[in-house]
Formats: sequence, C-alpha cells, structure tokens
Amino acid sequence: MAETVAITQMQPRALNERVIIERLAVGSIDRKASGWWGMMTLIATEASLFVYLLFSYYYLALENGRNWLPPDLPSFRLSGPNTVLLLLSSVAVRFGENGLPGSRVQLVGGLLTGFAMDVGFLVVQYVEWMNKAFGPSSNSYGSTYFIVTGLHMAHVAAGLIILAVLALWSALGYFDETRSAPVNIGAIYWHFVDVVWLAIFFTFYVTPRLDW
Amino acid sequence: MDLRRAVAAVALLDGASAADAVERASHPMYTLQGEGMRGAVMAKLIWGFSAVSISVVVIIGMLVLIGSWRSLRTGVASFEGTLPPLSRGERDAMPWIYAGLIVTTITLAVLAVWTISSMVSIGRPPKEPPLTIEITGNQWWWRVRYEPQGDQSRIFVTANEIHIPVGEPVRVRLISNDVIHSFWVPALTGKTDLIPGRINETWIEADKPGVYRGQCAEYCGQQHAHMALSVFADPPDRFQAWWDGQLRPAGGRSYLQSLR
Amino acid sequence: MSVTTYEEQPKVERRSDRLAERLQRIWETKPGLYGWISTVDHKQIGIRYIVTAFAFLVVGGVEALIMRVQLAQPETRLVTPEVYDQLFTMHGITMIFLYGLPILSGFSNYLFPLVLGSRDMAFPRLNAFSYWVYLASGLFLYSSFLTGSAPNNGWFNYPPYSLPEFNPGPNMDFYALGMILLGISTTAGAANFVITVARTRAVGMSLNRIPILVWGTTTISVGNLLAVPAVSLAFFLLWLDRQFGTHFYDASGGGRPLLWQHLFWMFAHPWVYVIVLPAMGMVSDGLPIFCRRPLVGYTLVVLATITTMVLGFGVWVHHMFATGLPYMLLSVFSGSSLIITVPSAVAVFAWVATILAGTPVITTAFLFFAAFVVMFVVGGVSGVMTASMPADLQLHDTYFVVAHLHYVLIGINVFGVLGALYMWFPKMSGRMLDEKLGRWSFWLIFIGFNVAFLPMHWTGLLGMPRRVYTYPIEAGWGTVNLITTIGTFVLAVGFLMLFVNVFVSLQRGRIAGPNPWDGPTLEWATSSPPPPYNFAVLPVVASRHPLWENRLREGTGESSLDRGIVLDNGKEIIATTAIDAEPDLILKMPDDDPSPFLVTVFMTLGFAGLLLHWWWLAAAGGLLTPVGLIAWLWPSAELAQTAEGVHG
Repeated sequence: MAETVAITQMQPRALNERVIIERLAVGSIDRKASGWWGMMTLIATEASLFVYLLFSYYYLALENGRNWLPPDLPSFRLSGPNTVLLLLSSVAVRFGENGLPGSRVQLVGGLLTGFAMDVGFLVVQYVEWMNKAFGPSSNSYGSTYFIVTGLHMAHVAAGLIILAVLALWSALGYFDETRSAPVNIGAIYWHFVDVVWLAIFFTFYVTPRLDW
Repeated sequence: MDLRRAVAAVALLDGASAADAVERASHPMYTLQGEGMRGAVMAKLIWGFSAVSISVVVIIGMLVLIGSWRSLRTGVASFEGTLPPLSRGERDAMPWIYAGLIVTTITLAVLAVWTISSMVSIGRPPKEPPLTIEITGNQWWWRVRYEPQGDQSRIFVTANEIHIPVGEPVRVRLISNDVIHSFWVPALTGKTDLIPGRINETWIEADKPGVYRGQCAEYCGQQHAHMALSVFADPPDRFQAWWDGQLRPAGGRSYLQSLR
Repeated sequence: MSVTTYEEQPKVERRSDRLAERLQRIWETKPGLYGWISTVDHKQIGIRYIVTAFAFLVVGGVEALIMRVQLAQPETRLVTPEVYDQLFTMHGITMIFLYGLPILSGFSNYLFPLVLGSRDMAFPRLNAFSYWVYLASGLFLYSSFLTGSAPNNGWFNYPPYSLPEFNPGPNMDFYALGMILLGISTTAGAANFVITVARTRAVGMSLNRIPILVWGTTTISVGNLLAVPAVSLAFFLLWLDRQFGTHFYDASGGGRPLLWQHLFWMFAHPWVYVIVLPAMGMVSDGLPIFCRRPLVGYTLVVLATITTMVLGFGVWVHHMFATGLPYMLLSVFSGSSLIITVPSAVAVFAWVATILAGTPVITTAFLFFAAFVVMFVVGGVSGVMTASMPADLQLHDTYFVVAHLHYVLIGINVFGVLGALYMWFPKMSGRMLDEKLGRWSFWLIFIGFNVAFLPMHWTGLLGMPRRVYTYPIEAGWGTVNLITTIGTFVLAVGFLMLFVNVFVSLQRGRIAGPNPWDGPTLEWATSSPPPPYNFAVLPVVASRHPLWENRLREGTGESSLDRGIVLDNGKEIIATTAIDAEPDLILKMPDDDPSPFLVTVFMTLGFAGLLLHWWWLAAAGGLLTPVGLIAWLWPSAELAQTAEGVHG
C-alpha cells in the first residue's frame, strides 16, 4: 500500500519582484560557445599526451646514455623549413579568421591555404621518414622517433580534416561575425598542433646538439 | 623434505630456544621479527606505525560512536518518516578540524623523521661485505652464484638455496633472465626487484643461525606462487665446510645428512 | 523549427501548469527504440551508468568469490593457475575501471544539472557518447573470456611479462585496446563535467555555493584530463611493441620495463583519488542532511579535495619503492606520500565534527556514511604505513596492501555509494527503499567486509605475497585465509539483500515526495522523479542551502524557486559566468540524436579490427568515425550555430 511520506518542509519564499534578466546572446558566440571550452579541455588532454610522450624520450635518453642517439643526428635540412611551413599555415588560418566579418573569400582562402601548407608539411615529413637509416623496430630510439613524430602527424591529419570541413561550411555561408564558433575552435586546435611541433622539434632536433 | 621440520631441526641444533624455533617454524614468512639488522629495523618501524594507526582508528571510531549514540538517547534513533528540525548550527565546530589537523601534522612529522632515519641506517651495509652473491631470477627458480671477495677460484652456483655466514653482511646482486621478479626474505630484508636490463643490489645479514624462507614477491607468471627460496645462515666453520663441499664434484651427502 | 535570433530576453515568471506541459513536450525523450538509442537525457544516462556499474560490481564480486574459495585452504586446485591469473586480473580491471569511476559518473551525471539548477549537461550528446563507449569497452574487455584469453598479468600489467615472448596470445591486446577505448569515454565524461560546472550553473550559484559532490567530480575530471593520456599512451606503446616489434619496454632493444611502470603509475595513482573523491563529496553532502545541520568546514573540505588531487600527481613512485631507484628519489616520494594524508585528515575531522555538532538521525544512509568515516581512517592509516619506504619494503606486494586498498576502495567508494543510493533512490525512482531491509543489508555488508579484510592486514604481516593462486601448508596462512573467505561470503549476502531491496522497492516501495529527507539543495525542489526538463522555471539561488535558508542564518538574500527564468523557445538553458554565476548566454540544447551511438559502433568496430588484425575493418572504422563525427558536429540552425537566415 503506497502512502506519502510525511515531511517537514517549509515553502521557499517568493522571489524578490525586482529581479529581471537583461537581453542575453543566444547560441554559439565565438569564445562564449560551449564548444570553445570543450576545445580547451581537449587541448589540455592532448598536451598531456605529448608531455608523457616527451617524458618517454627523455627517460630512455637518460637511461641509455649518449650512445642511444643515432650516429647521424636528425638534421635541420628538412625539418627547419618544415617548421616554418607549419607556422606559416597557422598564419594563413588566422588570416582566414580575420575575414569573418565581411569577406567569405578571405575566410575560405585562408583555410584552404592552411590546408595546402598542412599537406606540404606531411609530405616533407614523410620524405624525412623515408631517408632515415633506422626504422621503428630497429631500437628504442627509432621507436620513439617514429611514434612521437607519427602521433604528431596524426594530429596534423586530423587538422587537415578539420580545415577542409571548415572551408566547406564557410563556403556554404554558415558563418558570420557573431556565429563563427566552429572556425575559432578549429583555428585554436590548429595553433595547438603547431606549439606541440615546436616542443617535438626542440626535443628531437635541438637537444641532441646540447652538451649532455 | 618438509621445510617446517628442517627449520626446526636446524634451529634446535644451533641452540635457539624452542619457542623461537616453533614461532618462525609455524610462520616462516613472518615480517615482524627481524633476524638481522635490516629486518629488525623494518620490524620495529612497522610495530611503531601499527601502534599509532590502531590508536587513530580507535579514537575516530569512538568519536563517531559517541556522536551517533547521542541520537539514540534523544529518541530519534530509528527513522519513522519524520525528521527532527534542523539544529541551528550555533555551536562552532571548527576547532575540531583545527585540532585534528595539528595533531595529524605533528604525528606525520614524527613518522617522517623516523622513516628517514630508518632509511639511512639500513641503506648501506655496516662494512664492506666479504661475500657477494649474484641471484638471477628465472621463471620460476632462483640461480645463485657465490663470489667471494678477491678469489675467482671459489665461485660456484646453486639453485633456490642460499647459504650465508652468520654475522657477516652479504651483498646481493639481482638480475633477471626473463621477467620481473622480486627477492624477499622477510626475516632478513625487505624486497628488491629483479628487472631485466638492470642490475639491482641489496644486502642481508643474519644475526643468528637458522633457515629463513623467502618467496618471489612480484607476479611473474603462472607458477609465481611456487617460486620460493631458503636462506641458510651458518656459523663460520660450518659455512666454510659447506662451501668446500660445493666445490667438490657431485656425489656427496645432502646438507642435512652432513649435520648428523 | 529553426530559430536563429542573436539575442533574447528571458522572462521571469511563476511556474505554471501550461508552461510545464509545454516543456514536457519539448524535453521528453522520443518513444521506442529510436528514443532508447538516441536519448540525451542526463537522468536516463546517469541511471544507465549506475545500473551498468553495479552489474560489473557483481561480476567482479563473483570473480573474487571464486578466488576466495581457492585461497580458503592451502594447495587447493579449484581452478588452474592460468584461470586464477585471469580472475585476479579481471577482478582488478572490473572493479577499478568498470565499476569504480562509472558508478560515480552515474550519480554525478544524474545529479549535476539538478543540483546546479539547470536542465542538462553542457554537452548532452557527448554525455550519451561517453556512456556508450564505456559500455562498449566493458563488453570488449569481457569478450576476451569467450576465447579463454582474458588479461592475465594483473591490472598493472608489467612488462616484460606483457610482451609477446612471454604472453603470445591476445590477452594483452584485449587489455591494451580496451583501455584505450575506455580512456576515450573517461576523457569525454571529464570534459563534460568540467564545462557543465564552469558554464551552466544556476544564476547566483557562485563557486562557494556548489555542493561538495560537484567539487569532487569536477576536481577529478580535471585530474582525468591530465592523467588518462599517460595510461592510454602506456597501452598504445605496449600494443606497438607487441604488434610491430617496437622497443619501448624490452631491454634488449634499448627499451625499459620501468618506463611502463612510470607511465602507468603516473596515471594510476591519481586514478585512485579519482575513484574516491566524488564519493567523499557525496558523503559531505549527505551526512549533513542526516545530522540536521550544514557541513562543518565547507571551505576547508573544498580545499582538501583540490589539494588531494594535486598532491596525487606527486606520489606515484611509492608503487616502485622496491625497483632499485635512487634512495634520494625514494625518500622524496616517501615524504610526499606521507604529506598527502593531511588533506584527507581535514575531511575526516570535518565529518566527525558534523556528526558531533549535529543531531544524527539513524537511517540506513546515515549508517553507511558513519561507517564510511571509520573505514576511511582504517584505509588511511594502513596507507601511511605503506608510505614509509622501509616499512613498505616488507609490506609491498603482500596481503597487507590488499587489505589497505580494499579499505580505501570499498570503505570510501562503496560505502559512500551505498549511502548515496539509499539517499537518492527516492529522487530517482519516486519510491523509498525499505529501511528494515536496509539495516539488515548494512550490517551484513559491514560485518562481512570487516571479517574479510581486517584479518588481511595480519595475513600480509605473516608474509603472504599477492597474486598467488595457492600457498603451501607450512607457510601458516591457512587460518586467516579461511576467516577472510567466510567474511567475503557474508559480504556477498549483504549485497544480495541490497539488490533485493532495490527490486522490491521499485515495485512496492512507499511513494516518495519531492523532499523525503528534508534536504537543502536544489534537486530536492523537483518532483520524484523529476520531469525531463528538471525545473519549469530556472531557479535563482542566494545561498549554499536554498531549501534551508529560511531556517538557517546564511546567504545574502532569498533564493527563488517558485518564480524563476522561463526558457521555453525549444530546448534552452542558461549559461552563467564561471565564478559569480551571473547570466551570460542562452544555450540551445540538442534533441535526441543517434550520432553518439553510431560513432561508438564505428569506433568499436575499428578497435575490433585492430585486435583481430583485420586491417580492412580497422580502416573502415577509422574512416567512418570521422564521418560520423562530422555529421554530429554539422552546424545546425536549431542549435543557433549558424548565421541568421541559414537553415542548416
């Protein structure tokens, strides 16, 4: 037999009649959008991933000693210009973002330029991979080199998809000055991928030349 | 051969008290009674921490019971569907937290100092060990190699059984042939892992003659449960005799046979 | 209905039945199979998490009972060593990963929007996704039993034993890929909790007015975002070593077994705080209700929660005291492991003070909460013992640690959860759990648990190592093990009684009103169970205890629950600023959507392909997943993601 449980309860008092809420923006407004905050958490977690990856490099390096490095240290010949290319692609995307109020051409153009430079980065990196005397299963240095740069390349590839999709949506006219969150969100992901590369570049290409 | 009877037999032969022999015989892996300096320091630490721990649990338990008991006396013991009114929250109960925080911090500081001083006292052997044994862990047995200081001609190998001289520190070098194992003889020392690609070192010293049981303490596969070892601590003359015996070709009597 | 206006001014009105009906139609889940797969209702998702987690608890419990029968006497052979090894491994994985966090995610998912005065999580579809992926990863891991190749190297899975030379079967691959899949669920859930708390609280619910459960779950979610990648990476590198012959962990190729231990424990130590801090939060919110007064030391408890999580990242090497690392390093970590006791002590004294300064009411929930406090302390002090490096060299890898971990995990997580269950079950189901059965289940669980695990400290001190499928008679461990086994069966009966209580009460329990316990927070201002839209008018709060504020002297004004913000132009909630919770934005919420389910299916198929080396399947999953994600994220006019005039 069901019966209501007796409770002691007092009714909350009515709201002070003077409260009003002013006009509020609605929906995905650039940095107020939930998706922006979501991308921040994604960046936090992916950054942690690369921290742990680079930890593995430094741990294995210290454990194994200088002999762990290959006889030919990774060279700046390809990686230097490639780094510049990647940074320029971020500039291109930023340029595209600035086209949001008004110029759809600038927006789509910037995104597609970034896309093309992105592809260029991957091609150059692939060439560098092919020229290595060692492979991922040669030794732990090889494993670390290919997996760290490989995971970065995977993030770049994801960025490719993002830029392409954003270019499509931009061309379809989905975005304007106020409603532009996906572009801002995609752009910040792209800048993040650049920063990660700088850390990887420093680790693999610069630190072997330091005196340790 | 029944380990328990072996332990008891050897202990009695060496004049240990019957009670001690039975205690260690019935719980050969007992951690709370060290038979060497390292084991003793660790045992004392555990006894001390246990005393503090039990006191803390009793105190907090009593406080929770007292707090709950009062409600039984004020008649709100069982929930019949109505709840008493809110207590006004006048009593400032923050001092409980401050007091607890202070007591906890002081206690932990004392325990930390004791920990560090114990670490210092057991870190290194009291003198340069005259004997080094190298133990190689395998799935699922111990290969023991004896290396006396400065005498290459007297090196030899046994399995699962270690003999050490009483009263002398012995360096133990630990390497692994396959997976991670862990060397552990509770009466004499805490654990040290055997990790492939790495050479770890520890040291042991037994104060009294006896047989001390050890067991692998890091999961290493299906028969991890049966990877035991025994450490025989022999008085110096018997130790020499045993060593000489090991260097002779096979065909001699077993160790216990040689005692009679 | 496509609406893209850039601004709105929401009305502030009294609740009305017409408004309620309108909101019901807007927010309720669609019927049938489509609704079941596509729902984004946080309450339904929360209950799914809870039910699934309890199911895994039972399975993990059965695994434990089998092991306990084998260990009750020396040299028993109920199961073969290989089966035993799979049992202890899966028991650990199930309890620590498939029960430990998901149960807390379930309660948090259900409660967050309610206690925060909102209508849903910030990302409702991501919420559904994180559940589906959790379920998929649990099934993925358990499917290993179908081929008799469940993971068998312990939940900690040390190499070299996890490498193909010693473990050639698929056991380790199930574990590696299953964990990476589960990590995706955990990360998605963590992001959702953090952003929900940062963005979608009720107007007026400043940071110092949030329930401790919310602090707990948010804190561990930040922890998860930073810690989960370590274990996902560890397993990814292991999987690579196994499939492609890379050399991260094998010494012969320049790798290091200890690299695994560092990566694993850098994740797994913070993880143990992840699976207890939300439970501590639930007790911090529930105990005050049954002591008829607010929590003593709210601010200190919040700080203790955050400090514990932060310090939790700095103690991982205490799992590696025996590995031969440099003494100086070990002493630093021994010190930090002792220091982390301090914030826990703050919380314990806050609870004790609340009991002493309040008027306790002995309900079943209170019994679980009170027992929780004592069990917490037992687990805590045994943790202090293992924090001391020289002591730990004797205690490590013995049953002493098993005793410690069960006191903290069962004592804190399970006892907290069971108290929370008795407290919030009326809210979730509209019926009260039976108090008499509740008492019986409590005492059986409490007694069974302590009979099982208290003697286990002694078993460890007698030198019994962990992860052994049997032991010799001479070791002298038979009696204690028998006592422990008996205790576990009493514990099991207690759980059985609990589940009986749940099933019976769902049918015939007393009907519960909105606030059967006279609780202070916003969830108790809704009906039991709440309607799909939670609040017909969104409340404005002015204190930490809106439903008690008339009777206590706190807060700066009067909360408004009867009269609040009307948002009925489709699915809408209000976003507020992070610290002071002033109105900031109106957010459009998605309708039921099958994308999360579909993306989960694609991803899981991809992982299955990787496991089986069916590379075509892996590639298909790898291609379909981004396709599904793009469809999911396609800008929609209904969600106000597109420019004015665009019909997306």
